[in-house]
Formats: sequence, structure tokens, C-alpha cells
Amino acid sequence: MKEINITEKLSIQDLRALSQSARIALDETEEPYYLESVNAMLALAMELEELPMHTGAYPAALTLEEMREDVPAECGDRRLLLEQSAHWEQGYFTVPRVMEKQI
Amino acid sequence: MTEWKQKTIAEHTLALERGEYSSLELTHAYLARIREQEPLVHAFLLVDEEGALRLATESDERRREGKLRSPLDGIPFAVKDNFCTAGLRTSCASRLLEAFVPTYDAAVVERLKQAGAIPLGKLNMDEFAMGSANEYSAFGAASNPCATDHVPGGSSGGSAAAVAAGEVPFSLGSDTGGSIRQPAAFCGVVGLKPTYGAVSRYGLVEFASSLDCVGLVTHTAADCATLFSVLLGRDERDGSSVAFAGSREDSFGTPLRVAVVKEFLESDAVSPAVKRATEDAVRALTAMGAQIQTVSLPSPQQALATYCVLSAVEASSNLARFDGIRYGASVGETETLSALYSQNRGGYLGREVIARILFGTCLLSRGNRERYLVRAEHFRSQIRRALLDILASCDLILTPTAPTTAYRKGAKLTPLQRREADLCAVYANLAGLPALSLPMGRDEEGLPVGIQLMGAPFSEFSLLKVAQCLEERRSL
Repeated sequence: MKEINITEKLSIQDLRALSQSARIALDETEEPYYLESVNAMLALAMELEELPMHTGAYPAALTLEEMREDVPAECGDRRLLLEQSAHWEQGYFTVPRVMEKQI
Repeated sequence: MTEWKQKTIAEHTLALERGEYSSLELTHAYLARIREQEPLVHAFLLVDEEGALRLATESDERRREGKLRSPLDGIPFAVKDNFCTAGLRTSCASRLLEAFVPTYDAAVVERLKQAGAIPLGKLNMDEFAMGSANEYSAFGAASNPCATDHVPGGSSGGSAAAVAAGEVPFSLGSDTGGSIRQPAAFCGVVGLKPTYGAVSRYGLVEFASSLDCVGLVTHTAADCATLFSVLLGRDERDGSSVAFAGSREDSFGTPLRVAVVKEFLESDAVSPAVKRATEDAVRALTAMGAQIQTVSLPSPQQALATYCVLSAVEASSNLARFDGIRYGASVGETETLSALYSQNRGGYLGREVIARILFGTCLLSRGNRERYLVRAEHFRSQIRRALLDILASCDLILTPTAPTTAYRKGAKLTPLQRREADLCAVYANLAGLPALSLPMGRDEEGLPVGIQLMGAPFSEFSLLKVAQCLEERRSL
């Protein structure tokens, strides 16, 4: 994950870097709204800076005491699942080509 | 006699038993009520008339054959649109999932169907359960039935509004940071957030997994206990669910020991009407013989900040799956796979959801983990310890549910003011404790005020018993 060092407020450049990391395309006209919104949340988060700094591991929010047995279960109906997708053919989800681009 | 549309589960069960009406007639009546109220309230995103009438007919057949499955058999209900429902659209009030039809039922939907209850449809909400006013629904905001120019609260605004409007006798929602209790308070109904893990979340679309709980909305505390007893229990499909480790009877001692939180009675963020209602509850409990003790909680602002950080971080991770490839809306042809993800998410997710994902992504970026996330997790464990310490010497903690009553739609609130709607509620989520909201009077505008009762893990039935005593006292 990229470094986005928070000082007091994020800049438009920080916001663009975040949108890339989050894989969310932002409309340029919407950027000021998001900048204000994220900066308002950051201002609230800065309340935590008054607390002592901790490093390393943090307490687990929950512990799973009973795990289910690791045995194969019945699979979902492939066709029904595929039909949820906007793009699929011949039993597979379809997306833009990836391998050729990278080569 | 209560007007039929405000009748409780208990009253319907009795009337069905006596043959005063059938489940089919009851379902028809609620469907007619929905048609009448929806132009005003917009609590529903989908109504399944055909399915409901079929199941009601089956319930009536079971009744004739003496094969009833539970006290909920034949009683209509509805669920928030973030519970998966086989064959019925589950949109999470998002354009991204506008056409998503799950292939299976959420565990709680399955349990209610097995109990013979009749699902009428799916309820409005803030998109992906992010919001406190229902104003972030992609399909239009729900209104508060007590005053339709006011918000019903959120994110389970539709769940609370539907019960308050008499469209269903009970509903389900979800509660990540007060999303059941705050709308219940705004709409004047009972809302319960159970102990973390007490009710299976299998099939509930995740927002922040370490905080999310299934929530219950009913007219009365007794109904809530009936409903909770059907829903609780371990489900191996949800690894965080646990067997109910509490008593189904009232396990609080005599006299009842009640802790009242000083910070909320002194806070400027809490309105005078809400403070008055909380003091009324203290007086009522004192009159019932309870011992009242004033306690202090770790900083409410820092608790809110902790919630804000943790929920955004978890949301940014959980919602990464919504990329329009396997399900959900898609913009179609793009040059690269990365562009397809970005354009699907940017094009179909709403503003509040995007803002929270960006914020969560920011907190997860290198350099910010110790500064915010680790601090928040440590503070969270301090909150849990502090609450459990209080609950070691008290039976329950009494607070307001929300700092204010319902506000007007479109009110110009700062982002912080919007966040403060969760000020009193987030403690229970951060600590995994059960908490309920109970109506306690009205403000000067006639809007309902809610008080919150919070208890130790698995004390739901005892909390509901206290709530029932307060209801009885209120009606005297």
C-alpha cells in the first residue's frame, strides 16, 4: 500500500492517489466534495492522537472459538451464479484481457 | 383495543389462535397498509405480494392441521435490504447492486421462514448501511412516520419506519454503530442490538465485520424477546456466531443496580428533551426500587473517532469485492481490468460510501497504521474493559439512545454533527455488548425520544424485562 502521510489535511494529489489505491474512479468535479468529506473524517480521527502511541500488534477484536469442519460442501448452481454477472460466456466471467497487456 | 395496525406480535398471535382473522387476511391487511403508507413513508424498496400471500395460505393450512411452527407462524415481517433473500433483489440501497438477486436466504430470513413468519419485502436503508438518516439511499430517502418531513434515522431507517407506520408488526435490520437503536429512537419503537455473535450474520452483506450485528425492531419489549428467542444461536456458517450463553429468564438481582453515564447528562451535544427523558427513566427506575449510580465512560469523542476509524478500515476492505465482475452493475467495455474495476466502483457507488472507502484506504496506507488503527484498537479494548468493570457492579447502563430527536430532512448539518448521532450508541458495538432502545416520551415538537439500556454479554432477556417494566410504568 502506498504511503500517504497525513499532516493536517489531504491534498487533491493525496486524494487521487487514494482513489487509485481504492480502485474508484473519481469525477474531477466531485473531487472537492470528497476532499472535504475525507478531511472531516480525518479531523475526527485526529482525536485519537491524544491517546498513547502503540506499536506492533493490537488486540484482536474477536476470537473465533468454534471453527466449522474443513470438509467440502455442495457448490452453488454455476449458471445461477454466472447470471448475476453483467458479462459472462461459456461458463466463465469475462473481463478485459490481462495477460497480453502485461507481456 | 389497540388499532390493528399497531398491534403487537403477541396480540396477533392471540387473535390468530382465536380465529378472529386468518394469516391470509392479516397479510392482505398489511399489504393494503403498505400501499396506503408508502407514498408518505417510502420504507420499502421491494414488496413481494405473491410470495407473501402464498406463505400466508400455507400458514393457515398448518393452523388448521394443528402443525404450527412457532409463535411467529402466520405473522408478517420485513427485512432491511442488506439481508440476502433467495430470488428477491438485495440492493443494499445501492445502484451497484440494483439487479443483484441472491441465490440463498440469510440465516435470519431462513429461521423466520422456518418459524412460519411471512416476509413481505425488503426495507429502505442508507447505502451499504453507511449513514444515520436514511438520506444516502440510492432509491430515495425514507421518512419518519411520526413527522414525514423528518428523517427516520439510519441506517436501518426503513426497518424502524415500517414498524412505526404499522406496515409490519416487526422487522429486522443491522446495527454497526447504532443503526438499529438510533432509528428506533427516532421513530418511537423498540430496537435491540444483541451481543456480538448471538445471532448469525450469514447472508448479511458486511459493512464492518467486527462491529456488525443483526438488529430487531418491534412495538414492545415483550415482542422483541419473542423474536430474539427465535433468532439466537450458533450457526456454523458464521464463524463469529456463538451459542447463547445467557439466561432466558430475568437474571438481574434485587434491587436492580443501574449505572447512569455522567458524560451524556452533561454534554452540550445532548438536547434538553433527551436529557429530560433520560432523567424520567431514572425516576421511573428509582420508583421501581432500583439503585442508581453515576458512572463515567471513556471519552465519547474518542469513542466516536475509534468507531469512525475501525468501521472505515473494515469497510474499505469488505467492499473491495464490489467491482462489478461477478455481480452488480458494470459500465461494460474498458481498456484494462483495472479501469473496469475503477469505473464500475466510481460509477455506481454513492458519495458517502466512496468517501468512507477512501478514508479507510487512507488509514490503511503505510505510515498511518500505528498512528490511527493501532491506537483505535487499543482504545477499543480499553472501552470494553471499562464497560465490563461497570457491569461487574451494576446490572445495566442507562444512556440516551441518540443525542437528539429526529431532525428535519435536508437539515444543514456538519459532518461531525451527523456523526454525533451515533455518540451514545457506538460503545455497545465497540465492546460487543447487547443494547436496546426504548421509547421514553416525546420532545416539544411531539417527536419520540429513546433511552438506551446496555448490559453484560448475553443479558438480552434481562434487559428486555426491565424495558417491559418501564413500558408498563409509562402506560399507567
